[in-house]
Amino acid sequence: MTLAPFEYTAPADLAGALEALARPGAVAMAGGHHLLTRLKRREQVVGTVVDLRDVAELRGVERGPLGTVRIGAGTTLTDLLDEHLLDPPDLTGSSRDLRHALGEALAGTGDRQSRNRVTLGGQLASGRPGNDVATALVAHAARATLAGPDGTRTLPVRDLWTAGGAWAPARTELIVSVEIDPDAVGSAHARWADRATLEAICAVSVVLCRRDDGALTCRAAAAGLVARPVLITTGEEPVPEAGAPAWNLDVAPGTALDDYLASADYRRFMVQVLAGRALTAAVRRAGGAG
Amino acid sequence: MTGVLGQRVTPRESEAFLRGTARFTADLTPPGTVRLHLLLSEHAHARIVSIDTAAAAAMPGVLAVVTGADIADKLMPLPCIWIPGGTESHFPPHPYGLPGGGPALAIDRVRFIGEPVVAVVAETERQARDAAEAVVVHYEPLPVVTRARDAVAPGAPQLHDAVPGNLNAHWTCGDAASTDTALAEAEVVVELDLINQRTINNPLEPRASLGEYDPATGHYTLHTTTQGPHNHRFLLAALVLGIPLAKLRVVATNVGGSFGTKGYLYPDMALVLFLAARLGRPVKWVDSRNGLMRSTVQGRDHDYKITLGGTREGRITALRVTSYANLGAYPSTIGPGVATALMGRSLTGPYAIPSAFCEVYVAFTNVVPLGAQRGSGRSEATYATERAVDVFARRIGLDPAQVRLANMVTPDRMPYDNGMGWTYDSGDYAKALQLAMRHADYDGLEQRRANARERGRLLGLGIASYVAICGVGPSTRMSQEGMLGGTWESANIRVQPSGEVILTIGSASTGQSHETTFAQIAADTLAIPVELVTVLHSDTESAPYGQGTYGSRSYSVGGPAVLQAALEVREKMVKVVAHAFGVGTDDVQVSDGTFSTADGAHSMAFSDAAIAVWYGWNLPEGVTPALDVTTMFDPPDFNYPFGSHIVEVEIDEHTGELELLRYIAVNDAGVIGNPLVVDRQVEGSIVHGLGQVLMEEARFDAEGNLLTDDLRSYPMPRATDVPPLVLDWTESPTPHNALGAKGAGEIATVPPAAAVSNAILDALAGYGIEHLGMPVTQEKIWRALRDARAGSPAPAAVGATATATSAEEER
Repeated sequence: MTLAPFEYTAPADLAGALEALARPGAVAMAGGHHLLTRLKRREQVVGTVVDLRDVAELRGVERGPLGTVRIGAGTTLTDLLDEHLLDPPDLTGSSRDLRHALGEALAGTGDRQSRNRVTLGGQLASGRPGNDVATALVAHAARATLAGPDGTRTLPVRDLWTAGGAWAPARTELIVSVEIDPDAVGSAHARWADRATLEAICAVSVVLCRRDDGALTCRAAAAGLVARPVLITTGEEPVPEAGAPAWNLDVAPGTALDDYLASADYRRFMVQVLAGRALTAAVRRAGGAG
Repeated sequence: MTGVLGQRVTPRESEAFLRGTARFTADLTPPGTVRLHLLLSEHAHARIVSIDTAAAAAMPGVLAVVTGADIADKLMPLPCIWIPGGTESHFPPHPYGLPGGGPALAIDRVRFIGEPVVAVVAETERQARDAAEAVVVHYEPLPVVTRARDAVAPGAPQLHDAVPGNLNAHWTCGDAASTDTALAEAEVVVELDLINQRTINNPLEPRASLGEYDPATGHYTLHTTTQGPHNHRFLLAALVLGIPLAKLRVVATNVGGSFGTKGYLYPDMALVLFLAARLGRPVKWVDSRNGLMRSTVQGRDHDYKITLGGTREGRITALRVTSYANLGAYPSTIGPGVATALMGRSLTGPYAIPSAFCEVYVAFTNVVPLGAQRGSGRSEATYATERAVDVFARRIGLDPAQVRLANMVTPDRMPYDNGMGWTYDSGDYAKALQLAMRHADYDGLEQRRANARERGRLLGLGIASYVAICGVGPSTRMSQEGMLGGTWESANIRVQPSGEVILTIGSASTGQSHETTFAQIAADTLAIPVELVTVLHSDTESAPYGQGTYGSRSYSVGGPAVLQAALEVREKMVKVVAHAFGVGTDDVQVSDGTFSTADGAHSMAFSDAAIAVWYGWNLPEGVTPALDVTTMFDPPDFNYPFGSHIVEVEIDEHTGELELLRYIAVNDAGVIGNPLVVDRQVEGSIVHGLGQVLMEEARFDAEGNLLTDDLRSYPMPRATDVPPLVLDWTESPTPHNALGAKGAGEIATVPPAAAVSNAILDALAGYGIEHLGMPVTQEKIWRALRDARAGSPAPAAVGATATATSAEEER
């Protein structure tokens, strides 16, 4: 299949990329898996493809002094899957778990060949309802830094999508990095995949933190209920001694996903099942409910 | 004999396929090749008001933009050559009075979403595609009907003027009166409303065609993805292009799988030839996956009711099926036969059922034309019967395996007339089931079930026993079935002066390892190493006539032709050698590449004998020089492989998640030529069947849009979906050919849908759930369990409904 004609540019830095993106009809391309597939199918027509391959500011993984991890949006999923990358030094004397939920979400995304190309930023921007990586980041309360013609801004990852699942930032903005605080002591990701694409129909990430009194608290996010990942815990619920917190599965009227892959009913059910599984694994990894 | 026949010889074809060096039609690009792109219909049913090609024609690189109006008086409609036998039928027209399968490009009207409307030829694929996007077609949408049952209802949208009420045929087999009587008298009657959902064949290689024309000679050459080059040549030359057969050569290079789809005529085949002649350039068309899913023939698609009657002791006394079969928008080349005889006559399966009857309402609708899919007809029949047998056994409280064993045709009744039109040839059906039960540790089932229950899991075991008519031929019988064509095969053996053997066969490989297995037959008979035999096929210019590879017929119909040719070659060589030795022919023995006498006084290498016949210096009287033998084989009847499959599953009672624990397949394909090849075909067939029962479904919306037109929306089994497979065999040679061989390539696709369904329903039996429609998804199971817990009957959304009534109670 052949692509329709388009202009192509590969700027060397972020400023150049933002400038190119300001052109009418310009679209950013990271790993290209999403965009090129759409172009090949002629599902999308673009004026200019702005290839981000040479933009140095999007690369790298850094750890801040308090253990916060900053992941460049251009980092490939394969590089992120290297567990050492997400395994920060033991800063506080207690176990810190940045790798399980995110690692399991990454491992469930595509196959090895596609993960070699797909970037973190591209994966978030592709905006699929069953986006495992996005779900894990929402559960981690991760923040995204965006750069645009008016400067940079930081917002919670969960706000990167509209209620309808569309990419919320302006077309002229680029996601530069994602930051995660090292507050997790246990985490896990559970998914139920579509047999055709292997993308998640439903997925849940659970992140556990430990309060000063030793009790575990839980943040959980789910994909598959609506068109974007949502938190299904209201905040920092304590994990009961037995069982699970009361998951918040309410979605706005008319927004529930209900399609040939699964009904809204079954999605709600499976999200609870997956949340339970992820919680069990995360509690185990946190060394028990304390 | 070298004994190489029957050995697990590694296919010689594999290396090129695995290394990616094998060439396929899409790889062929003669100098000057231009590309054809077909603009497909955007509507499932619409009148074409106008087509504006001016902008497209003016685009860079564009050489031709052709519409239906341009070809209407130049290309005849594609013919359909399988009329439902023995009944009145209605078809779109063809100028020769044959059934018409629709024009190569839509004329005035489109009838399904994948119908080609405009052909665009340009220097490159991209230019052709860009230009196709610039074609403006103004459609006036018409009402759409997508289901067969709806299509034959009063007031349904009409597709073809020549087909009143969209009814192609009301086809029947069996004895309606005796069946109705037997059902009325039956102690127990079970009814099931079933859907055998439409599925999409997905061979690795989408279809492709390359047309060439030599203006100096007026010769056409078509390289294409075909299961039957000779058939395609005959049909295209005589019935579409209207040219002498001698002017058309059809060649299949390697073909990357077919599963039934590539035996059909398609518009592109005629168009690349027509356009090559018009443009004086080779014209190539290569389909995409999306195009394949929209326009290559699809499979299954029966909406049927099965009624099975029997005694409380488990004897099946009657079986009746009424089906609505969905032929799609046009009759594909042999689609009507797939929808009727292959399904209906197969319904009694391995059982001796005294009274049986089937009627099929074959209907045209606004979906993709129906064709064969691996196991076609037989899988649909087996699904219905084997589901009904399980429900019957459960209703009378007997073990489903014992009910099957009690009703199976016994070997002493062979040949057995099943009352529906098939005469079974050989086999011990009970033996195959008992062997499968031993592999399955059937006696330990209840213990395993109890163990699973302790883990919160529902364990189920499902059985499906089957008989699958194969080996399409004899020709006379197929003519009675309504097929317009012969169903014999041929082989040619030429022994080179070096002793190398060139075997050319009429059948064509689409990945079944013909080049290996057929070489084994010749090598075995000639007592030479298999490496000395080269197998050629799939080129109408060099291969003897053959009807193609379908219906698992290549080995059991083409193989005997090879055997006969090898025997005739051997007989002639023995005559020459005996003459040279100065002994009688009975004194000459052949083994290990050598002709010799038993007393050791004489010996001659095969290659020396070959050159002796080649030179012809010292031949006995009446023997001509050279070894070049062509044989034909038209079998006296079909052959009937059979078997029993057993699958064990576990279901998570809470979530509906399903796990296939193991799959046991005991099959009988008579005497097998290459068990390695056949085992792999059986594995592939099982996986194919698992796809239908668990995930595959061609879904159309009410407007006839195909919602599953790519592999993102149409799931197929992956390696991780396949449970451990246990394969075993019984061997019941068919009396209908000298190899004792029965069909094998598709037989294991026949039972999985029934076996897995039965296993799932066995696991759910404690909840009173009797049926779930295919594909049986995790959510369907969950929903059925939830509804059962709530005490409500399974809703329609779960799938087909099952009702079982006792006739006695009704009375």
